[in-house]
Amino acid sequence: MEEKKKYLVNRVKTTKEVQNMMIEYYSGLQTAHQDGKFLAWTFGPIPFEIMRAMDIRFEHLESYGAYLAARSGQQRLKELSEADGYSNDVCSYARLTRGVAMLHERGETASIPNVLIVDLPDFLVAIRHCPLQGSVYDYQKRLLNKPGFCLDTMPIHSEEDYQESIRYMRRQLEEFIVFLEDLTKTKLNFDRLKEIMGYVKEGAVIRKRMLNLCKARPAPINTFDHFISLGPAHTQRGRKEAVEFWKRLEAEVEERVNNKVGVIENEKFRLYWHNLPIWFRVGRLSETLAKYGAVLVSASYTHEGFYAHEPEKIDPEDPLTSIAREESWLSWLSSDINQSAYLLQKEIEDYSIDGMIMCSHRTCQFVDVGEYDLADLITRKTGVPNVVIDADPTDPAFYSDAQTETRIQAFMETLESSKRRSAASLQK
Amino acid sequence: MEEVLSKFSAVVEHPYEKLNKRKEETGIKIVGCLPMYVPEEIIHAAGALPIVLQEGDEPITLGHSKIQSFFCGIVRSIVDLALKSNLDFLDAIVSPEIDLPINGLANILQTNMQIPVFRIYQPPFPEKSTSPDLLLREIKKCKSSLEGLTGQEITDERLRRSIEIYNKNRSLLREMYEMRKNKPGILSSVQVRSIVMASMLMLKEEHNQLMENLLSKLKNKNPASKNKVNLVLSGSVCEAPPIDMLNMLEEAGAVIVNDDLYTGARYFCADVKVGNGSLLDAIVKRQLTWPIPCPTKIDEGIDWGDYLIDLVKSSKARGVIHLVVKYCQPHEMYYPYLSKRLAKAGIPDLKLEFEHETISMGSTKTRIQAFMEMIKKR
Repeated sequence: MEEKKKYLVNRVKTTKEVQNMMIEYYSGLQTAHQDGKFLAWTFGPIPFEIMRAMDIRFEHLESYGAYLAARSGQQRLKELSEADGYSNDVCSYARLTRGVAMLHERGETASIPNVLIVDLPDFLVAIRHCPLQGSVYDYQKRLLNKPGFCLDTMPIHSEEDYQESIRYMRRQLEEFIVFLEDLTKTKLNFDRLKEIMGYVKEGAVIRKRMLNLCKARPAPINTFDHFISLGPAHTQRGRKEAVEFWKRLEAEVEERVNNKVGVIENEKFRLYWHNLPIWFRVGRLSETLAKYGAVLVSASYTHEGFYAHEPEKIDPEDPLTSIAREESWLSWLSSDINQSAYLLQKEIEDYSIDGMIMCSHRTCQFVDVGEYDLADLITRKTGVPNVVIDADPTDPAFYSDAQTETRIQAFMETLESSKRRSAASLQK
Repeated sequence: MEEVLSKFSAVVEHPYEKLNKRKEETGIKIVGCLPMYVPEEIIHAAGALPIVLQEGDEPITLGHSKIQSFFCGIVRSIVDLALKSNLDFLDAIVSPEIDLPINGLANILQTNMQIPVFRIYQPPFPEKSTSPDLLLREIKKCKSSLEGLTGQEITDERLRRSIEIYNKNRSLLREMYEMRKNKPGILSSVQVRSIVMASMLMLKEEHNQLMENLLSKLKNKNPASKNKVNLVLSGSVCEAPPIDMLNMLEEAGAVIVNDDLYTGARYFCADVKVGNGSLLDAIVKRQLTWPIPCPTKIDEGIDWGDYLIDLVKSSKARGVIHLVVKYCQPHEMYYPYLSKRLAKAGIPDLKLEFEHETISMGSTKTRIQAFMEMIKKR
């Protein structure tokens, strides 16, 4: 009998639900679309709440890209987009989306085993946090010849900019609602939106508490599990079922904290992950780190986005301002190095971080630019060392297991010696 | 004619050394504009010299410590120039915040240089009702920062005068482009590149004088050779086209009759139209209605494919060369669309990619020759 593989990481059980949730979500999109519901392709963290309130179905480019990447479904799609003239330097999410459209053009949507290819959309929606998401939206819209709406975010460098951005976003949201109403010939039910925003708040408050539980030693859950649960954080946000999911997850994590059960045994190093996940290596990296007694306890992506910033301030009675605040917050994080540095430093203190993994994503310039300055700044200020690993969110062509694992090994030695040094200085 | 042309090329050769010297001699404040679309008139009206920062020709060394190798050449090169203290003559930087590598570049310069960085966020949607208000706020903010920098209030009178000087410069450059279109080969594409780049690097009053001189000479000039293949250059967005590539095209029998490049028509295509309203509103309007489509904007009202097809037709060109900067994702994103549109319209096109460090000369030359043969046989 084949011996069952033994994993070093003791994953929480609740996040194992995510896989089915996502499969159900994508197949649900198809059935609803076939039943006459509107389907939108969306780019960036758009305000799904408004679309949900209008019973519009949405495919979310990044979640879908992650879904495809995690299923090795991406190769064929990328080949198609490259055959269509795309350089492989272009954002890998964008190439996947183009590939999906091309499968439809060729009538080959059933050609990739175990991967659900979403229908072509009735319209497109984007938010230009990453300016390229605006370009992806614009070229797809021109190629597919469909209507669309793109929200803009402004770069933010001060509290004054932040307030301006909230006003700017709010005005655009009002125009977005008019666009959706005209297109679907349905009026937005504002009470429904308030109800959805109530669930967003409830879910976000629980999620935030659950994230905070990772301050405990040993860490009860690692950030790789948080990455996996971002699928529902995007696509299920504002649903009662999502709130129930976060409750179950929180209860499981809390129980581990109470019983001092760690996600790995013999936790030695607590790490921070900067940047997007490498979707096709989440599991393997988690195990690699565990070999050295290292656990990821926090990440910029999971701990700042998805209403993780001051969720208690979400006001369901004023959904548009709440959405505008969240979108502006995300923009502040991505446009201003001082703000990112301030938050990262705080995470380092709150989560007792020993080292930072800075992931440099080959086709995702948005999250890469300025990363070296940020790493230098933080290491200088806090003494916490960092390692840069080269990867891509969804394209394995830009990733090497051997190279990454060698770098991680060297980094672990650095952490080991810095621990020894600080222990020695304490003895003195 | 050669004399005036050599003045333009002198400006663009090792420009930073010359600007440094100029600053030492005159004490003028120099403000570096990141590409593209900074409304330079405002900087000029504040009594400073605005220049559009250009890619250097040195290999990147120190820059690697601050930015990954998969960013476009101009961004990496400017970081490198800054770290090597070649940009120390600058008093401030204005960033147009059009695109993420450019916004990121502004952040890197702010972190690593001891000078202020002023930002003008340019909403990418010309047609949205929310865009003018935001852009006006951004321009006002930058205006007051510039006044603080130079100590010179930007009065309406000063701004009006700067707008006039800039509009005149644009109109002279457009006149040169008209002449080139009507008498293909009257200027080589490298000469045109120097003339436009010089405008980005010197006081517009001085450039205007040189332009008037040049145009008076060009009027009587006829192109040296005929039977060339007329082509349009497209793309190359923030960066200037590489000289070697331009020479290679012309050696293979091409003559460039028009372009949509930033170091080209894109730079001078849009005047500030002063009417009865405020001057700043006029600038906002110009910024939002740039007539040449841009991959960093989302302009539902215009289409780059349509624009290129019209440009080819109105310039009597027979094909398009896409000059694509490696890692310029916005441009790379649109290239397949442009190529498809041109193919549908029966216009041959060729994509030539280049990066800061290398151009694969051998294969580029072969591809250009094959493309030219193909066009000639049509």
